[in-house]
Amino acid sequence: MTEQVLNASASPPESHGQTFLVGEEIYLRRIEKRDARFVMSVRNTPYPQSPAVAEEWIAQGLRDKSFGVWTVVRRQDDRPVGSMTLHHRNVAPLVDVHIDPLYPSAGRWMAEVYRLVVPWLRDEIHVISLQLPVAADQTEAIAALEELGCVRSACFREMLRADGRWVDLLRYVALHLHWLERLGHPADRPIARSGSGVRRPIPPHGTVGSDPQPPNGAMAIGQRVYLKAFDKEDAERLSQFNRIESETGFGHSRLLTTDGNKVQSRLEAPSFRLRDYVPFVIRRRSDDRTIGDCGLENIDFVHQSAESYSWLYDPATRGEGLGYEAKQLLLGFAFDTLGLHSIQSYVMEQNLRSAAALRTQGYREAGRLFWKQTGDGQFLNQLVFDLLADEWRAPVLPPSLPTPDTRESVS
Amino acid sequence: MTAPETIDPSQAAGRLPGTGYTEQTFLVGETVYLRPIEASDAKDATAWRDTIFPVSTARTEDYIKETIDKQDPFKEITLALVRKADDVVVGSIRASFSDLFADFSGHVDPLYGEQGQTWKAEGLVLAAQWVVNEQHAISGLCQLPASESIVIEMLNGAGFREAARFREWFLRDGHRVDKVALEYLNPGWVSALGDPAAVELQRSGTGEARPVPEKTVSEGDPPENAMLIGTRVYLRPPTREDIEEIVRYARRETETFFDIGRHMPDVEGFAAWSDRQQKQEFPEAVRFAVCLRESGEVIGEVSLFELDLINRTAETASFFHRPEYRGGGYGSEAKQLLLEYAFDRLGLHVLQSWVFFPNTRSAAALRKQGYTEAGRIHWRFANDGSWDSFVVFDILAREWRAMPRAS
Repeated sequence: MTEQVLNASASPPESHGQTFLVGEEIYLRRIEKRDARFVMSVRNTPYPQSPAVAEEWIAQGLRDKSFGVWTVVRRQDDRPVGSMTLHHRNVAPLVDVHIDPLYPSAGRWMAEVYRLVVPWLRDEIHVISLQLPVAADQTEAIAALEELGCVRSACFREMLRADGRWVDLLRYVALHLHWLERLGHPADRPIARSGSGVRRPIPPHGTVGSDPQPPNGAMAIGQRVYLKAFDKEDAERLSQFNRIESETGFGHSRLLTTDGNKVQSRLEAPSFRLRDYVPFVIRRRSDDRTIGDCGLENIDFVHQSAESYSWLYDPATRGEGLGYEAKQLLLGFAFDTLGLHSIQSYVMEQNLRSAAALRTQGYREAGRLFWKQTGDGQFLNQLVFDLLADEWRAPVLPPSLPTPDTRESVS
Repeated sequence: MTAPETIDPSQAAGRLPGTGYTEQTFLVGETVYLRPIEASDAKDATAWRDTIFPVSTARTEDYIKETIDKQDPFKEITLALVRKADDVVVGSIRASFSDLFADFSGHVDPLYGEQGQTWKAEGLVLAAQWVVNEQHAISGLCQLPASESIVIEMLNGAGFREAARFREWFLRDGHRVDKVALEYLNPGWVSALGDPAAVELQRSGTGEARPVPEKTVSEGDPPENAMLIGTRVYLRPPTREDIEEIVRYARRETETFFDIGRHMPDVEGFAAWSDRQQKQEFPEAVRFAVCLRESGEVIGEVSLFELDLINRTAETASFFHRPEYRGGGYGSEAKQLLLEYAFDRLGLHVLQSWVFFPNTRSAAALRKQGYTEAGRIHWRFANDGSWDSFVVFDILAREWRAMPRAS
């Protein structure tokens, strides 16, 4: 094997003089164009990419203020071995750590990155809630996070594919100590729940049957609703309903959007091959009116996962089971057409109705993401849910019967 | 169900519904007919656009202008599949051409159920007869999910025949179904040359699969940009320098049976294509340079083409430009790393490989690597005074995982 000697000269290592984010074996610095030479160590991608292509990615990223990629560098020879990406999100930024798995020391270095980054962001930058996703098979990293006082707040089952098997994605959180002293630990407050929590059977859906024509543009038909592509008139209807919304508890305040930007966001998604976002319009069959939308976001076709969302615009249509029926059509698309393995869903903790709806739709609670955004003199949590394809396909059992859990996973 | 809000195309054109085909002399069947896609068909996108994703009318208008209207009819044509009774567009039929050899595919709004299958079959037969019998294409190929049994039965009754079957290829309604390759050979050429299915396939090698090498664990630093490491070779992203070397070696090639003769790619075109693939968020092709661990030299490449992360399929390919590394087991070691990448990293379910009939060496290598013969696709290229064929293979993830591992 060829030996790569990067720092053979007598010059001191680059970490010399750096006062923070320097550990025993590795250190962190902002990504630079020269790191493109080690792209497959630095960039967490399943696809091969040449240094020339990576250099463009880095150059383009560095022009974007939100490009939060840092290079993890080995101290002994200044060789890039991984990366840390900081995603700025409200009061709860998220950190992704990647170390080239071909290094025998990858697990140890990943743990060291957390030991450097968590105290820096939490105690020095005063991040309120640092979100830390980590694969369940990264045992050294998990041990480091727990030593640092981070708390496991959620577990998304089988969300990652690794070496031909499914692995859970854990969410740890580092909460700022002084805010904890002031407000108490959010985990101490029990989760408020409404509804029975019992999963309902999936309503029938299928082909057009004896009717001569499917509803206009229909892609999936239920008994009372159907799903279709977003067209301009649907976006206009969404805009109208935005203006008369009375609820504020969906997890965000009320939004005012123009027809134009809704159309842009929903129609401009590339329609050729794969995409990471698939929006549908929900139409009621009885009067062929657009009553809401639903879809999949952050679709990851390698890990076969996505996040689901749905919204009924007209308050008068809520609570009648139309959203439930539409969601089941969406899940059929996600699992049976796209072949996804798991679906995640995020709901603000105070939004009891949406959380109850997810439970009746078959989703299971995956945990809570603490202090995701600001509320009225407090920080608000997010409830997270997940649903696996084989759970969705399994017949609905009476609540008294236990559901067999036969999955194989690392947790 | 409410009445559809469709504007009848024939009414829009000032015609009575159900008369849209009356002045057309060809591509008219018993219940459907084929016509060019028109701008007004954008509103029926869900019926005819061959995609599982929702597509808006606005974007389909762009698609018609930017893609359909610019199709070269000698290379590709997409036709609307229209119901004769009321001129409603219920699907589309696409024909693409590689020189004298055609491929057909069809799409009908799946909500029409079994009725839609009969329309699709009728449209495919119309297109095949037009392209092969009237335009004198040598052969036509149509690859369908086995779940479309009505289409397959109707095509078999209209002169198509099953040429190959790729196992568990498609995901349909949550189930894996085979891909059935149906071929439609030009009857005149069959009379002149005989049935190619009668030609015996030459085989070399033992045909027995060899154990898969155990996964290699790197003891020290991995080679620069390595993604998968074997005992003697590793895979890394290809660079422009690799392409320059492959092109240099292509000029010195002595073997002529890998492909239809030797080819001489140009560096700029090859590099531009490679860059495009590497920049895509969802690449259709994934190529690796195969490098020697002891020296880092590039000796060949292994690739996945037509990567489909919904059906979880791809086609594998490999080529070793350095002749001194052919036949020494380097190719099989690299291929096993590619299979590990395809099955374990990307989670693909099944892979296929196509080999030119005369290339018995590559066919033997595939059998050794665990692939199974899936059939033959006849008459897809010219060879020495006749038309020649492919022998095709597939390999399932679970078969690959069950293969014995060498220590």
